Amino acid sequence: MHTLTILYGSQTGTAQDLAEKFWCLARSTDLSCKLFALDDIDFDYFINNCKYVLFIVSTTGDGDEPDNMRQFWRSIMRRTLTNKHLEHIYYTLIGLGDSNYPKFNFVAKKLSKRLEQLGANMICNKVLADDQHPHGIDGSIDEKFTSEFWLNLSKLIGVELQPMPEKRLPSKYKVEWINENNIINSNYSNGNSDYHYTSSNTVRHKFYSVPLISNKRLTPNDHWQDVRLLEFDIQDYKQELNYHCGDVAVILPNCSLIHIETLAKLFNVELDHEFYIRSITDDSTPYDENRLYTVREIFSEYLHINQVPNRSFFDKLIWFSNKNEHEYERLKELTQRENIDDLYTYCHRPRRTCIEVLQDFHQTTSLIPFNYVFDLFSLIRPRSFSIASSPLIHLNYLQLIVAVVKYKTIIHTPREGLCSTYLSKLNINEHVKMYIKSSGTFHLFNDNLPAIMIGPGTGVAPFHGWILERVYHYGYHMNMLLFGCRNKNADAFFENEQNWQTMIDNKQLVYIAAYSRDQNEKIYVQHKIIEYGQMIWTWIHDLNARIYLAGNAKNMPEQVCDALKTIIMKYANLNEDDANQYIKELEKTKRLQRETWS
Amino acid sequence: MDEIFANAKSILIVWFDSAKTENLLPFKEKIQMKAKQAEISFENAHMLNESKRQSSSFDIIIYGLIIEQDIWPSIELLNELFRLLKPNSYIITHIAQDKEVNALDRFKMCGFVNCNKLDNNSSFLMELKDYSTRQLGSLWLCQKPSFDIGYSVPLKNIKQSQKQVPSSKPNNVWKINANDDDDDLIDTDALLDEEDRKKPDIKNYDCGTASNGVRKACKNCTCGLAQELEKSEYDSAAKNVKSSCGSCYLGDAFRCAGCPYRGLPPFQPGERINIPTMSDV
Repeated sequence: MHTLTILYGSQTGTAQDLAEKFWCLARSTDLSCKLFALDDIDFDYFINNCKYVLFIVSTTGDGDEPDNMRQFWRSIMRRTLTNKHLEHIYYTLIGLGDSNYPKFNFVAKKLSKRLEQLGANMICNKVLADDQHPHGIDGSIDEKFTSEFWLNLSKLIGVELQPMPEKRLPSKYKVEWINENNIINSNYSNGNSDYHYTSSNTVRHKFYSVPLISNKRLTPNDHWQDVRLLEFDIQDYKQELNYHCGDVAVILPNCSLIHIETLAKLFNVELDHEFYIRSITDDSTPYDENRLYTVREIFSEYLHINQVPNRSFFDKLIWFSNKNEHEYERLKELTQRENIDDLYTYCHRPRRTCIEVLQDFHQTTSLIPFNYVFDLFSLIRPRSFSIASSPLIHLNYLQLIVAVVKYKTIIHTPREGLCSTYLSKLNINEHVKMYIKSSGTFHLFNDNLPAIMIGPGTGVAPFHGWILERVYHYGYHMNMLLFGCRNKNADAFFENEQNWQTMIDNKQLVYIAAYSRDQNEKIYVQHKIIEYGQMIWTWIHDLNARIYLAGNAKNMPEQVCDALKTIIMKYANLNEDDANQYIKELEKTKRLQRETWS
Repeated sequence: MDEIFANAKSILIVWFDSAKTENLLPFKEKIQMKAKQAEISFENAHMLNESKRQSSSFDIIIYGLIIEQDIWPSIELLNELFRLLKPNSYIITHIAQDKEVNALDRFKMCGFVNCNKLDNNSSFLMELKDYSTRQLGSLWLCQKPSFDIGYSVPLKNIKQSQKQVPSSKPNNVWKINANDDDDDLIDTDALLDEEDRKKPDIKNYDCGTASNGVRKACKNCTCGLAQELEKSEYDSAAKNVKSSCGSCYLGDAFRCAGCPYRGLPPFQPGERINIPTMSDV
């Protein structure tokens, strides 16, 4: 019996979802298939037992590997491996990346080069999917890769593989309902394949529950955007939630009640109904077999029920659809490869959620056994926020700046970001699940070399605490902050803070703000960098300043780097190539660092 | 000599501003012929100190062979090259006869041992030297000592250890200790070539029209097409408030593009629905 091993490295869950999709397809053939997060497979086991391997890896941060493949990465990049080590392995690879970022798909590119170096053979050419493709990552993967992959794999193992996306697979879990007479009803499923599932983000980390002590809106009520300053009391977990400036707080949000209720109605279940969850395999799960769960709990704390669905969600809906109904016809249309535009217009662009799709397909939904909710929805993914306070200044508490995501599309109900909405609606003394992790890319140096901080919008968060710490704890007075926002009177978050003004008056902080909408032409931080070029260059070149850049990943980082390049060319009298080289050197020596998010 | 090249995994060619760039690639290819499994990198001598490569990363460093005349390495540079070499590995350079004594002293001062002249088999390495330089000097091979016993496997043994690999059926042969130090990892940036550093051209993604020729905005549309399309959809919807297709109540999945109920959840057939006015998107 041949076994295909699917290994994924996933940060936001997209790679994991895709891996599960391929796992489903493989299971619909006679192929045995194993699925692991890369760090969940023992490296020795991988080398000695895997023959056919599909890697699905994303690239995160500044060209970094996802958290759940760090260990594997360290193992495979070991110098002592030779070009014989993997010569018995056949692999192919799907890279997930976003060409908005400079280090597009670096993890996938490096991994495939390394696998080749170690002697691995290819099943078919790798594919580097780009989230900027008009059809998202599906757009890059569908065209050629899938057919080539199954065809070549069939040839290699000598068995024809014809995946059937419509074949209904057993659920990951069965559910044992409880009523007054104990267990009354079980949804049994026959598992025929191994399923190794850990959401490394939720299972591995222990979250600590901390109370909210203040939730203040930083922008005026008539401003379009709601930005919050949230404060949490962490003194019960001083050790566990010990942090440094530049670190990140990871928060596990809940889905909101209105969505939970809508979904329960669609599935025709009571929110307070209790049940046990039994895994069909022995593999690790986020659920405890020995405790009772309620529908409410599962929908609010575990499953991301109002996510925008991906293709595999529709593939699964088809399993339950009644073949004679209009819903079945429509689902077939939406899942056909040629109709990806259609699916895109229906779901992706208007940011339609799973619940809204299930409303449209309510007949099909009513036929779905409840235990399949674990297959349809992915686990709620924790979200990271740069911490805005300093442990040395804001003793015993922790601050976050959160811009609430809310916008409209053609769908009448406004779209809301899961975590920011959850946080903004929290009341005082409500508890939030949180842990601390170091940013990985951002390392704020606590020495007296000058610091140039560039943090437009909520990018100012990590600097807010750090500047206070540098000035009032360490006594370092060479601090420059380039901040950007729309209006001085609306979203210049900290200008009214007493400390802030004192530091500016005492020349402990050089504060340069770009208010993009306060005049006709738009002025951003990059324009201010050029305007204050002489001073910034002196800080960089003569005073050995370090530059820290934080904020939205979209266009800002590249434009800021262009502005830095401009002043380097101008004041150092260098040509463009040399200026690029100069910036590269700054990055290499950690004198230019960026922490960006989307 | 051939064995040293054949066993090398990573080779660094140090070049200079005076080198002719058209010589770089052919020279590399020549080396690659001898060192089939090696990853060959280039570095400008002036950039060596700044580029802060990892210690002990190279099996062979080829110094000064792609320029016509000899350039002496400074002590500082030699120290850096020494640092970059793995224990027991080699630097190859060209030294003029009359400078031999001084040059070799310098190499020894920096810690190199086993300095030996290379024989004629290696003359392919000095083909880029001009005639007189070639006549008046020779190639030298100097070795970095194994400064710490057990720190690294001597080159000689590599062949031996590879022999133990049963390549057909490897079963529990490889024991990899995942907790070793960072120092033992390869520089992953070196895996990428210039092509890898490029990004895909988004223009190739065919934004603006769908496969069936209909105008269509791309995913992160910033040019306004997305809003324009949404607006025109909505306007046409507002004009045709009466609809007779009979699918309106079913939900967006089944509604026409211009349906007045677009964006609302499904409802019961016959139910009276107020269409809210669209606010700014």
